[in-house]
Amino acid sequence: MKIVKAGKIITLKGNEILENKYIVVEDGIIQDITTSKPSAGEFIHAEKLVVIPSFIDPATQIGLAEEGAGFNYYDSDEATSPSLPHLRSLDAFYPKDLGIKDAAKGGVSYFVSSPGDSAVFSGLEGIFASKGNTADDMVRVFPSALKLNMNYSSRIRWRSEGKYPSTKMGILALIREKFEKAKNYEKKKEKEKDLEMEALLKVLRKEIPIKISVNTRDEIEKAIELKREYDINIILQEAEDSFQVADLLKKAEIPVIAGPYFIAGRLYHQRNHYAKNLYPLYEKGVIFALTTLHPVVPVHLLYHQSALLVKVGIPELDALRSISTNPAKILRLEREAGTIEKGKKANLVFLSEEPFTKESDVVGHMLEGEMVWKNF
Amino acid sequence: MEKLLIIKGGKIFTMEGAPLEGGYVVIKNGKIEDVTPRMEVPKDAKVIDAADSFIYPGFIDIHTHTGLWEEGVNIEGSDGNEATDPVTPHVRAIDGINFHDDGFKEAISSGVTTVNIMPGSANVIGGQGVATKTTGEILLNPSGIKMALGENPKRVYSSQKKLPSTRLGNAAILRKTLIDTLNYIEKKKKDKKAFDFKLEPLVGLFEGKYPARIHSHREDDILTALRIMKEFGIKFVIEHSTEGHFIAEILAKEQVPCALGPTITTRIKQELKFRTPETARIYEEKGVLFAFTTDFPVLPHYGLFYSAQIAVRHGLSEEMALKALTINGAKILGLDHRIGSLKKGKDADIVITNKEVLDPRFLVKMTIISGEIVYEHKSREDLYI
Repeated sequence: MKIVKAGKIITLKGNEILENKYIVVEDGIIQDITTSKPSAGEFIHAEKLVVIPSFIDPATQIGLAEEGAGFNYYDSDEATSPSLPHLRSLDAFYPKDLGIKDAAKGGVSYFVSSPGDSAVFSGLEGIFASKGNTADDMVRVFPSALKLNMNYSSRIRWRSEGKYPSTKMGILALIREKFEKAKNYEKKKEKEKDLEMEALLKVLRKEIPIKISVNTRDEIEKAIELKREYDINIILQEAEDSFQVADLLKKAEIPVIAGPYFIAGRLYHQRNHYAKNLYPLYEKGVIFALTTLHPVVPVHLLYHQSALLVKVGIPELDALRSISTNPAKILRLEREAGTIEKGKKANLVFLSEEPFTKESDVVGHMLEGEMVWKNF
Repeated sequence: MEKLLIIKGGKIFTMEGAPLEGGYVVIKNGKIEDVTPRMEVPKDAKVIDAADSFIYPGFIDIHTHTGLWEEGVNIEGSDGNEATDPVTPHVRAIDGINFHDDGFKEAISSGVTTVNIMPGSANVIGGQGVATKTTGEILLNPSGIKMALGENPKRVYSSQKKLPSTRLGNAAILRKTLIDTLNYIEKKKKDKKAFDFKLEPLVGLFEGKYPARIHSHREDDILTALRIMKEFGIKFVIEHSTEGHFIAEILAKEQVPCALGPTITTRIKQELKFRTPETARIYEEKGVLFAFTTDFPVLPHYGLFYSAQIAVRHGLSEEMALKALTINGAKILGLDHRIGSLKKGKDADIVITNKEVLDPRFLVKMTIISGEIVYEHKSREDLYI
């Protein structure tokens, strides 16, 4: 049994703030949060620290796009066909990628690792924890979603090769063609197993959501249309123009994974890529989460990135929610992660000071009850 | 006679000794007329009340590509690298900069008032940089000759099946071009009409008019730069200096200034494998002159402050962090007589913020460049965040 003696706990359960409590942890789970001192156990002294829920990055290529090894070791983008829904990020996951230790030090407990950007259907992604020796140790949910690229980078790729689909029309045609084929495949009584169709069926049966990279308003509207047409669960990623259709997204209950923001060099279709444009989503109550898209921005800067939301006027607790509670909801992990509550996993970040202050830094990280980073 | 503009502080970080708690910064004709703890304010002066605010000299980024790689524009606005020849000293950054680009607006609204804009690092000798206010007021042209060692020239030219495709090739090209320049200088002594459009900009290096600014990440590349520049007696600055912490003592001893960063990027290239937020602290300990840089658009200009904030959390002193955002950059550009601190006679480049810039939540309330108010924060819409 581990006991965290916490000076202050921001649970992110509503606006709840607890002071001078013991968080009792066993089997990786928060057994209790109590004022009375438990009699025995391994004490973690965080009396002078602020404890908050640990972070979740819902869109990275950690383990696939290996850091520090050079471009030849990027194994994320199988850019040889537009339809590869059966690729699995788990099959290419390198558990010694430098980014994983960074994630642990940066307070990121879970991250999604996703196959790359060129194929329209680019494959199945999974949720990984930033501890463990092998991919199988680290994977928590697989598959967690199917990745679909309806954005500029996909069609421009096939256009440069003179291949279908090279336009927005082509992309939508390909998606419908594949979905219709999968529906027919399901109806067939006797069939040879087809991995592509099986992957698509997971989405059509609502076993997993489909995560769609889009940029512009029209692409977002097309994604909403697909949700209605096929009765599927969708998550939008990038979605720079989503502030223009915040009402529609709220009504359709579609969450957005936004960012990253520690980067400039916007292309034309990314011209609205600013954190200030998340404010309308916050205002309308659209659920959104921040991502680093690691390796675009290093994963351990997720917390630092959330300070930008405070700069643009989003309350501090909601800025914290955008890297913990909200991604937990979007990834369907809300029953086990995203807040500090009895019965949830003991995924805690220890901050040296109040969040977002000059001195505030991640000085500790407990992941499922285990201290994976401790510098206090 | 022009009226006085007076900023009534506030905590004034003059970068000339300890900050002033309360006091006045007096601006006249675009210059700082005075920085004083007390004064009688003339009736006709325009006064900016910054009582609860923080006042800094304009921030400086000594390595950017602002306006060369335009924001929100694709290939049409991509002008950073003339990647058709590894030796292009004759191309000038100033000829490719779109001063109306949003990158400048982002810089100004982030409090960055001076940038040193250089060609990219595809070529061993990439061309001429320019130091400019973010309003487009040119300070130095050329500000130096951009050079590059390491992966980038290798990658670009090996794909074209040309020299250089190795680090050996990079160094050979650099040496050969410098020897060609020495020969050209000799030739000019004998023949006054001799003129080589490509080599002429390199003559200034030997005359000490401006330095070489050499992109090098890895220790071996930094030391190659040092070796060659010493051999030819050329002043130089190490750009990025990602592995500089391994050889900080040498950099300090040889008095090599460093444009440090960006230190908060992913290690996408092999030569970035050992990038660490500790480098700044080690530079401070060993006495290396350095300034933070964003390499915009690798980071947005506001990334300058995140780089400093994160370095402070890894042991850099707050005082040095502020120097590395202001006066150190001015020194490395050779412009510390004009910018980098709040001192009588210097340009009135001033940034007023609501919180200290080492606080991740801070916002720029006002940016003043050469005495003109060029940015005032009124609403969220004004931000380029």
